[in-house]
Amino acid sequence: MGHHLATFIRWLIVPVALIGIAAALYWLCRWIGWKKKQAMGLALVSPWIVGFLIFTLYPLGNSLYLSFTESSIFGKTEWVGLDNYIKLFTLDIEFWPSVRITLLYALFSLPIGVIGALLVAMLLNNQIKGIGTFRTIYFLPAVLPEVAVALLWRWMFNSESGILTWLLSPILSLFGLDKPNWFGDPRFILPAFIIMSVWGIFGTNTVVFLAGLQGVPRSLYEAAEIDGANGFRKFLHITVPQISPVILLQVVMGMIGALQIFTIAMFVRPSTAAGKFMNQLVYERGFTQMHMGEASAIAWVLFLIILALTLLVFRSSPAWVHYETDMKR
Amino acid sequence: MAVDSAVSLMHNVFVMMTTALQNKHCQFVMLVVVIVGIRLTTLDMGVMRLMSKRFSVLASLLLVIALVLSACGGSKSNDNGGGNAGSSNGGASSGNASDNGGGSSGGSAGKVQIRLSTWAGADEAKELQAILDELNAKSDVYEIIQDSNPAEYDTRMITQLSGNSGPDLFWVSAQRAAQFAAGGVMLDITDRLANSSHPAADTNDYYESSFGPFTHDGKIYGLPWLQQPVMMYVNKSLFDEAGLSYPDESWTWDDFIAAAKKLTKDANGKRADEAGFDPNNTVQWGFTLNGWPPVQMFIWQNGGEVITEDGKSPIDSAEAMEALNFYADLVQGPLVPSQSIIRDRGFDQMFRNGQVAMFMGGAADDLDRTVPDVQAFMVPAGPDGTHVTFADILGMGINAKTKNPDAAFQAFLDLTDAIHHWKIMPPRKSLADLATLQELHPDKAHSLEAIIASMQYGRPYRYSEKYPDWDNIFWTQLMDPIINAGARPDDLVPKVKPLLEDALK
Amino acid sequence: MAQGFAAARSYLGTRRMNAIKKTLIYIIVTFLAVVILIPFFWMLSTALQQEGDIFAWPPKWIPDPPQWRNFADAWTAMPFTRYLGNTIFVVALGITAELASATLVAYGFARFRFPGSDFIFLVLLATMMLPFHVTLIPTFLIWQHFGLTGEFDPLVLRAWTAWGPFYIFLLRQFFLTIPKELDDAAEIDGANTFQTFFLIMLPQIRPALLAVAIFAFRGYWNDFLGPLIYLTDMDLYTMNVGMYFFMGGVNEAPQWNYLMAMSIVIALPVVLLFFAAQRYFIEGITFTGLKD
Repeated sequence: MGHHLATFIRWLIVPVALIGIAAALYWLCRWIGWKKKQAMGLALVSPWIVGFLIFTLYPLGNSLYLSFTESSIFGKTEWVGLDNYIKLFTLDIEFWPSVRITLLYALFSLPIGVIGALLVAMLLNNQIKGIGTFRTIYFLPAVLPEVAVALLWRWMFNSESGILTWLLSPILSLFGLDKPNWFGDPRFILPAFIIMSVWGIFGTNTVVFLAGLQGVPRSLYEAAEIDGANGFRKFLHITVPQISPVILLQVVMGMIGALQIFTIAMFVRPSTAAGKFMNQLVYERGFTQMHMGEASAIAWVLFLIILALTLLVFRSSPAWVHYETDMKR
Repeated sequence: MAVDSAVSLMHNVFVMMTTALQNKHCQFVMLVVVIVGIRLTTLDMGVMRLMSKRFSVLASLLLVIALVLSACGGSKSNDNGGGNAGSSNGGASSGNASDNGGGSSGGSAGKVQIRLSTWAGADEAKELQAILDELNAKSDVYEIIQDSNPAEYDTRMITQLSGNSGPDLFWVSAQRAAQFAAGGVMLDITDRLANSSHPAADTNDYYESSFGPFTHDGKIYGLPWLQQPVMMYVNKSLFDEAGLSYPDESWTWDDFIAAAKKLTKDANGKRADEAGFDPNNTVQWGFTLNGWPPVQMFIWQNGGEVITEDGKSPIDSAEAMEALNFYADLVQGPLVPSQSIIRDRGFDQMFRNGQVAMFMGGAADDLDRTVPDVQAFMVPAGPDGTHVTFADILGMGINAKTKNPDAAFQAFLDLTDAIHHWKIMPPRKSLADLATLQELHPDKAHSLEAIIASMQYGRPYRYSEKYPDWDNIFWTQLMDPIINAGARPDDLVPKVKPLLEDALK
Repeated sequence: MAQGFAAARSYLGTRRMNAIKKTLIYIIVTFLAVVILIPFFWMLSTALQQEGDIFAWPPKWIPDPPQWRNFADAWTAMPFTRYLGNTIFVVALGITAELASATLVAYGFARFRFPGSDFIFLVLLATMMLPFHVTLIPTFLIWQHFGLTGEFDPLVLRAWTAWGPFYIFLLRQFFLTIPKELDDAAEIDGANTFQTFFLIMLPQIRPALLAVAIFAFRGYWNDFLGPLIYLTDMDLYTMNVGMYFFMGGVNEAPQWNYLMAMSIVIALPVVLLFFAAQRYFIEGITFTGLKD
């Protein structure tokens, strides 16, 4: 009980301190000549900045530093400069297959995830009877603990009695493949993971899109109907632009999530012939083989890949993302 | 460094606040003040009133429920008064050595609190707690508190040990022990052991091979509490049905294969050594293999080595190649289920369901006491009669940064000895007495003779700091392709051997 | 295609078109719902199995006899009542702080331009991009420096600093869908920043706000690695961590029936919460005044 109380009291003190810092920042900014709006902006964002400076900056910097060293966490840390990176790109036999399989996985699972979630959300955006129950059912996949999900997939991919094999075997036998060894045969590992990503359509992604769709004013649709627009045109010219900020969110988050796939891969433990996912590689190099330097290097490569792709998406966003600055019709 | 000073400022503020809050009276006063404060400020904010009132009522209600539940939910262990581990007063600044000086001290009645981290699951944790209760009752120096969870043990351990607030004692696998010993994570106990007259401190009493992973540069950093030789579990009724006699010490690879053939049946009842046997329709297999048992065992049985003392990997020697091919033939052949079936139905599950007749598992596995008519025998010997089996070793170490090395060491020895009397098999020759063990473990009594006999042939891997790197290559570049992709050793070994030797440099 | 549609509509009459549309939607939604539910039935089935039957071959779909007592047995096998209390504690503190701070920070990003705001937002996104394993140990060391490892603090204090970048990103995007005219009108009416925030901005994105509340609840409720690393006292474990005790050990197989039973129990509160809240995802937030 003492632990709870102590934590609770410290928990009450933290916001007070943060408000104090925010106020101080506000007055500081005003003092150096910032406008009211600017100073308020910084003040509002300051709690995050404080958290970042204390808890994120050091680990970020530390991991970047480690990526230039040979470090075994407990033992000596010695500076090796770019050696880790060079060895990674030229000598490491696991690196490139890992990059390949990670990128391929993201490439296929992202569109499936975003489009799938949007379509499902549109389905759920109807006022039919019992929609509440349906929406809850569609959210269920998000509440499962990871161990249950992994076991679930093992059961579903069962090559004899698994639902997926049963569903897909007519298609597969067309290609002459019978009873695929989903996690053992290198050819099937990527398809298996992509199928597993379909599960991610349900749960939070659908709910986010649903929230977005709910925010689109009815009046827009009504006006369009009066003008004679059919379903598809309404979708393209009203729905998509209206929820485009949400689409951007889902694309970026989906990309970050897909490229960082880890937990399910660790549970399922597929054959590594096709390569390990990059996040897996980071964990193994760092915690199993105790080469924190290498692990950090791989992590930063992954970071840069994600950053580059995200910037790309953001750069393209003015072309298709529509923020409500004014309501011209 | 501005960041450093900012951090220490916040740190000191926290410490000030938490030490002030040690006093229970002070805590309650503050709590009341704060809650009243919240109510007052929210009453002020106009429209906000409705939202925040409901909110703060809800929040306070939840908190009260939480506090009540956690206080009344029953403690994890003993019910005697001082059972609340990490007592509220000592809890807050326990991590900072420079402050109160005492890390895990300040428990009940002057005994030093020793934190023990383990990977025990629900049942094991309960059994362990019973042992700890006994030890704690007998000792007036230490009190061992258990901190167990089988999830992500390595991640948890490495993270907690990286700082100054890790556990005092922790369980460690042989592979990790070698890494930790080399990294200076575990306390050097060479001298302490030499000066101790405790039965568990007698290094001569331990099997040689069990010590290896815990030594580094001639110094000892931990003690093993278990050495598990791999045994061959046999489904006796399937043997009877096939008219086979049970394995004995004279069994070699040939006898093993011959038996496996007789024990592999198809849906029509045809055995693998009969004409007309249909390998696509097997309902019962003689053996099962998925990377376990490790191929190293077979290589050793044939007189080969995978890692030599001078850091070479002679997997291309004639003996090693023979064993590798033997293994590849076995896993790719009809006597063993396909990898996809093993994944589907469960590796050990198939043995439990009677679909597999012979299974190689650790001596402490529960197969011979939960499955009817199963007994453990020695694994077959190599072609020229060499007996050797893989021995998995588990042990315990003391945190090099522990704040109470003497108390920890005492607890360490007592606990190690207690575990030796709890699990199969203790790595000590003096405890390898058949009669005593049969009394201690009646449900495994029928297998114990073979287990004890296997102890002297047990061998662990040649662990070292570089071992995980070597193992990663050995598995991903050699064994995984053989097992999952039908590759042949002859093609892979020439490419893999230089990679392996590189990893050991 | 458009003509065909229009032709069909005029032929069948709009009412019947709508009826067909509705039926079609019903069919698809039901089909997918069944697909989603199958794994959950299997989970329930496993939870009700006896020890020996879990992986029987051929698999037994309906456990016979169903062991409802598995739920009680699993609950009492470890002190889950206490773990429940701990979990509620962490969640209550966590989501309160998280919601308060994330909404304000997102508001700041969405509506206020200040020098460096774009850069800071990018940095915020970037914090999600580094694989978490490499920041695990340094973060732990920071908490250790404060002397707070072994306590609940690492799990709940950071919530005040709007810890989850995802929530900030999501709320910001939703704030950006609100037309600026509303802000301007409020300003003209003399509202200050916080009044605008509470009276205009928050109500406008109620669906998103609810979504974030539920996600945050789920996040803290299901948080596993955090409690595993920072909570060393077995009395302080949360339910998710406690559940892993059923994973067995070196020589024991996991107790899948207890695992599934506890998974179901742990998932229930989140599901119920969602079911209650989704009613408030009411269609068509109408607001009067500005438009037209």
